[in-house]
Amino acid sequence: MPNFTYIVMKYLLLPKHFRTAGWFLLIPGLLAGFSNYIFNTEPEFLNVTMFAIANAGFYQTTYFTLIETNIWQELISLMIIMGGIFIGFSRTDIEDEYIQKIRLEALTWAVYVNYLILILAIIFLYGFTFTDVLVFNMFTILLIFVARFEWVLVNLNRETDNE
Amino acid sequence: MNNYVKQKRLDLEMTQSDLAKKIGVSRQTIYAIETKKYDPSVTLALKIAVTFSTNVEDLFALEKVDWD
Repeated sequence: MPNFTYIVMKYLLLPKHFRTAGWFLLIPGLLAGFSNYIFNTEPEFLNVTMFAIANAGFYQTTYFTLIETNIWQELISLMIIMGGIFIGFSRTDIEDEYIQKIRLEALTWAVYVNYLILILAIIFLYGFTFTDVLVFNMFTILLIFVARFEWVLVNLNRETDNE
Repeated sequence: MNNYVKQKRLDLEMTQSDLAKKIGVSRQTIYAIETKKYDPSVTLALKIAVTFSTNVEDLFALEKVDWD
C-alpha cells in the first residue's frame, strides 16, 4: 500500500511548474489589489455583461440573471487566490515527507493566525472597517500560509547550505 | 528521539547528498534528521537503515521525553 507521502505527492499536489505560474499570478494580483483598494480605479474596458446566480441590490435580490459590471476586482481576487494555491500546493524542487510536514505546519499556523485576526476584528472593529477586514480575510489565510511556508523553506535551505 | 545517523554516515564516509540521493529525499531532510529537527517516518528510517546495512534500533533510540 502506498504511503502517505506518495499519495500526497502523486494525487494531492499540483505539478512543479505551477509554483512559478503562482508567483506570476500572486505578485501582480497583490499589486493590483492594493492599487484598487487605495485609488479605487477600474479599467473601463472590463465593463462587461456577466451571468449572476444571485445579485443583491438595495431593494431586491435577483437570481439567474445577466448583469452589467466591471470585473477588475473579480480578476484580482482570482489572481491572488489561484496564485496562492499554486504556490502553496505545488510540488517543490525538493518535495518529500519533511517538506510535507513543513507545509502542514504552515497551514495550521495560517489557520490560527487568520482566525485570531478575525476574532480581534469581531471584537474591536465596527462598520465599514469590519467589512474591509472581511474582504482581506478572503485572502489572508492563503497569504499567511504561503509566507510562512516560503519563510521556513528559505531558512531551511540557508541552514543546510551552511552545514 | 535520539539518532546516530550523522555518526554512522560519517563512519561510512558519505555526504548528506550521497545519502539523500540513495534514499530519494532532499539534503534538507537529511540535515533536519541529523539535527533532530525531524523524526523520519518508519519507511524513511528503514531506508536509512538498509542503506547503512544496519538495524533501525542502531540508528534511532527513544528518549524519556518520547514517553511523556
